[in-house]
Amino acid sequence: MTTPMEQLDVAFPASLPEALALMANEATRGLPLAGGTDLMVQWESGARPVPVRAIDVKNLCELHVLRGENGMVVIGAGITHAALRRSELIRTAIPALAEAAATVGGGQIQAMGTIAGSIANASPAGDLAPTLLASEARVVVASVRGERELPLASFILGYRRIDLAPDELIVRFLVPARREGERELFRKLGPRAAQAISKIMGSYRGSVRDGVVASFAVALGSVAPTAIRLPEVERAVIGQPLNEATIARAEQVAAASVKPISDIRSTAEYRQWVSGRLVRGFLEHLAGRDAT
Amino acid sequence: MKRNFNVVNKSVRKIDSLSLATGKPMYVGDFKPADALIVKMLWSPHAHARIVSIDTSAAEQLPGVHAILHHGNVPRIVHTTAGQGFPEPSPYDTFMFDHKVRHVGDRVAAVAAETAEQAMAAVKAIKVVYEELPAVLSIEAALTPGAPVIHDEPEAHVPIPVPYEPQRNLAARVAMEVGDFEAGLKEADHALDLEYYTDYAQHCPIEPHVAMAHLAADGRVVITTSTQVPFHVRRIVAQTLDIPVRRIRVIKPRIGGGFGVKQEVLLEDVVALFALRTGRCVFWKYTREEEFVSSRTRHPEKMRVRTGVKKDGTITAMGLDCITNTGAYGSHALTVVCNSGSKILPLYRAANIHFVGESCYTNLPVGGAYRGYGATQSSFAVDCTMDELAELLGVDSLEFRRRNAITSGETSPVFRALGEGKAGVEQSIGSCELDRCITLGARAIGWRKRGRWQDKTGRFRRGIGMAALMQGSSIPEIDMGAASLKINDDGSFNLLMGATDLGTGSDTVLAQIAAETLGCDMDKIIVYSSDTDMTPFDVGAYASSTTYLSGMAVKNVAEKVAKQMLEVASAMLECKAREIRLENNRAVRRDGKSVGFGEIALRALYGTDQHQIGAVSSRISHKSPPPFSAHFAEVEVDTETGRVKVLRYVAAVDCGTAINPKLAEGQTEGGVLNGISYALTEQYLFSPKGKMLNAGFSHYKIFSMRDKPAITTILVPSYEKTGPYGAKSVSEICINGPLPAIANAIYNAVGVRMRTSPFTSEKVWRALQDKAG
Repeated sequence: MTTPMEQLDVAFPASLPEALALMANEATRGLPLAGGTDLMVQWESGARPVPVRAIDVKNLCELHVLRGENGMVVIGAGITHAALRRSELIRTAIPALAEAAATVGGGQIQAMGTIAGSIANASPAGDLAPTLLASEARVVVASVRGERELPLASFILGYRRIDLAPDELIVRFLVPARREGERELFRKLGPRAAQAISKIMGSYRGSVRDGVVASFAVALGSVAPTAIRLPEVERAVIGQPLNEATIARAEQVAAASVKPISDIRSTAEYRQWVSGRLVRGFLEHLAGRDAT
Repeated sequence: MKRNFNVVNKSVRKIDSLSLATGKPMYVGDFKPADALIVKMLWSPHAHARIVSIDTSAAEQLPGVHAILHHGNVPRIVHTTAGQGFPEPSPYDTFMFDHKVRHVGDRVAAVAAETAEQAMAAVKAIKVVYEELPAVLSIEAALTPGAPVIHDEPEAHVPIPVPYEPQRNLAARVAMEVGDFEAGLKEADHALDLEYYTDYAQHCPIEPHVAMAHLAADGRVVITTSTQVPFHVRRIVAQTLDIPVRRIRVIKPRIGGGFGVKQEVLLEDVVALFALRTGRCVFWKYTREEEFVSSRTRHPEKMRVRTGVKKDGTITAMGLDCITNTGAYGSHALTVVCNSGSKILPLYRAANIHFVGESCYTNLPVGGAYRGYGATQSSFAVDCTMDELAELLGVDSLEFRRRNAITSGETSPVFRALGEGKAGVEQSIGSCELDRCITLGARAIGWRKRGRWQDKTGRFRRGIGMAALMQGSSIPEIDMGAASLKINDDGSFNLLMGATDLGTGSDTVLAQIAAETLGCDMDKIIVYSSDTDMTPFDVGAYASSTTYLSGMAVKNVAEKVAKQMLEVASAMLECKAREIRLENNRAVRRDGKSVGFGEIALRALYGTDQHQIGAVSSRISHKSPPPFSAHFAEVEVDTETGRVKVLRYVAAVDCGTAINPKLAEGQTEGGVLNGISYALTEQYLFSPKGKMLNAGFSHYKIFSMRDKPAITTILVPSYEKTGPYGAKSVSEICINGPLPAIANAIYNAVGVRMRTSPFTSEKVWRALQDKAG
């Protein structure tokens, strides 16, 4: 007798059009499978049923683009965490994303897991989402009906839910590159160095002009059902002088505006506190104090 | 006293390393035949319940199902699963299957089927009606008068005369007093009364529990199992199934880690009974979740330390009250809590000593043997208290420990007062290089530059802490080790031992001792361990006994064989035996004329006056010489998040002669990393109904190589006269340091005392918040 995973029927399309054609037809459609670092764990534990069919998208060359164009970085859906971590382009244009990718799981997970897989899994503890949200990334999905582009913030619908039709595949992400004068940072707090699921983490991107916060976008993970931007915090600091008073207020607003849960990884109270301290750390980083 | 060694005290390559590294079949799972039946267990979903009825009729009809075991169709024989000497000091409170379940994950019924999936399907088809009982989920609840009684069965008893009161959930009690403790407290200039708590932890062997049984041609049951205690497995399975010991053979192949959890008989009775009932080979391997929930754990322990000290640094009173939570069964309940006293109280001189150890039943996972064995818990409590006493006195805590620590030639009344289920054995300390361990460790970590927490500023603050430690080497006058040795035609030797190498390298260490004694190369020693049909009796690998005790048996048997070889050689070399030395695989006469070991063997086996050169030897010990160690940790505390990072760790250890220095360092580093992981992250989280919520490596974090700080091991040589070539134990002591050393380092960094493990970011953060007010 074979296990459900051994019975899984996997299709290996040779190109994106072929994959989309398979997805278009209910009889040939399957769950998109790339690195499998989330799916296989969920199948094994029973958290998610093993589907009848999967479409292996890992080797589709259309999903492996990684290039800069017009102040935008185009990241193919199949780009792995290891590739993000190593890419000179990412490290220059979106350094927080390279940082975030380097903290995902261990070396093996980073070598297999992909950016689209991480986003499609839509876990609040996913490591890449906060940075992508803070940099206002957009996602492009495709089907035989054509392509659709939308902000990542609207693509993530809720806890483990994304705005993807049954016939669609995520094909790439469009991430604005850091502009002149913009700083950014990713920080994560987990129980140990390797292979820890985030207790809490976040990312920001911002700039200062003449001592005043000119722009500031901040997003946190593991404090709500999805990774979230903190608009109240952003409003509280943009246009304000980057001084202790502003930082202290931002810290307060951050702790008050997140509504985390208590779970086996942490209590709500601690997450609120750390949210505030993360935001403080980001603003201090923006001010040029690289204590982290 | 031989000190110029040829093989001993050398880092020879671990004899099984190449086969292991190249993936040769060596573990229980490697020997599973393709047609073995697979076992799956139906575990209790309730913390405390009576089984009203079990209906297996539907499950029995499912495809592939061969047999189902439950309380209605197996012998009802009360026993303990603790693999200890006989009669065991642990209560007999366990049945193979019972009509009552006492924790989530307790046995209900087992299925043997052709495949794992078929066995699982049958497990799900078993219909059980439970009558839920109120559950006892903490030490406090267990000892509250009127608490639900977990062991209300009339059979429960301890086979030795020790206190046992299951009607009030008390699984064990031990007490001792030296001098007048209360008077000692009054005499003190400073007194402290502090409470500590250490949490559950699991051993997490990378190879979980796994066992297999089949019937030999003569009808005997052959059990191949991942165990530390093959001879205890044989005895306890015979007892549980009510069959003679002679019908059972237990084979221990290579083991993928034990750390104490495999000193327990948890799977063998089930596979053996299935093999007897089906005639088939039967295989059972725990999943990781089962390893967490349904094997054994470190006993959580509440400790109260009351001490008094005079201004001149003399400790006038040392009091330790310990209560462990043994979970649903009393495995190792008495002896672990005994060791909380006996392995730490002798370390510091005190005129008046008080110790009470108790262990209570709860409806939670079951405690057992775990490397450190009670000393891990109490070292934390006592050593942190020493740190606080030094602070009260305004002296360097290192010097305070040094001033009060036991040393060579001294004894402690605790040795005689506290044994394992009976009085202990009086002993005075032979070898002790604790002082030098402290000196060398302090230098390596930079102790003098650690500063005071009051002077530290900034978000990230560093601190250095230390701990002084002792353990034992074997259980005196209880443990026994044995070995047999015979020569082969080519001058090689078969060394057969009941001692069980768990991956520790004991096969290598013991072969080194044999080769040193015989005067031959390592590759002439063919080691086989362990097989109850082939190898002489040994209690097994526990209580830091293998190198010391089994090592003495090996040295002794090698001496006997050497003597027989000398007799043959004296006839060949035409001189007196005492004129011959055994060295470099040859018997050498004073003038240099020699015969090879192979020639001696050929003469003995085929030539004149034929006989088998060979011997069996066994040893017990009248001492348990403690290894000593000083541990130092440097930590960095993030004052914003409470996160504690261990930056550097130094362990200076006196284990006598390190028979194999590289393996001794490996034991130390492994134990230290395990201890750091326990100190910082490891804990069991439970639902309000007593179900473990983090039973897997996703949510129960153990440190990996990537988490490893720089660990420096300093082997500080001493010579223990009673041990083989001066050796003492090294395996357990190293896990006891991180809890106190890190707690003391956190204090040195940020001024908060952590008295509850583990020191998670959130807990440290809360302590910092409380301190700030």
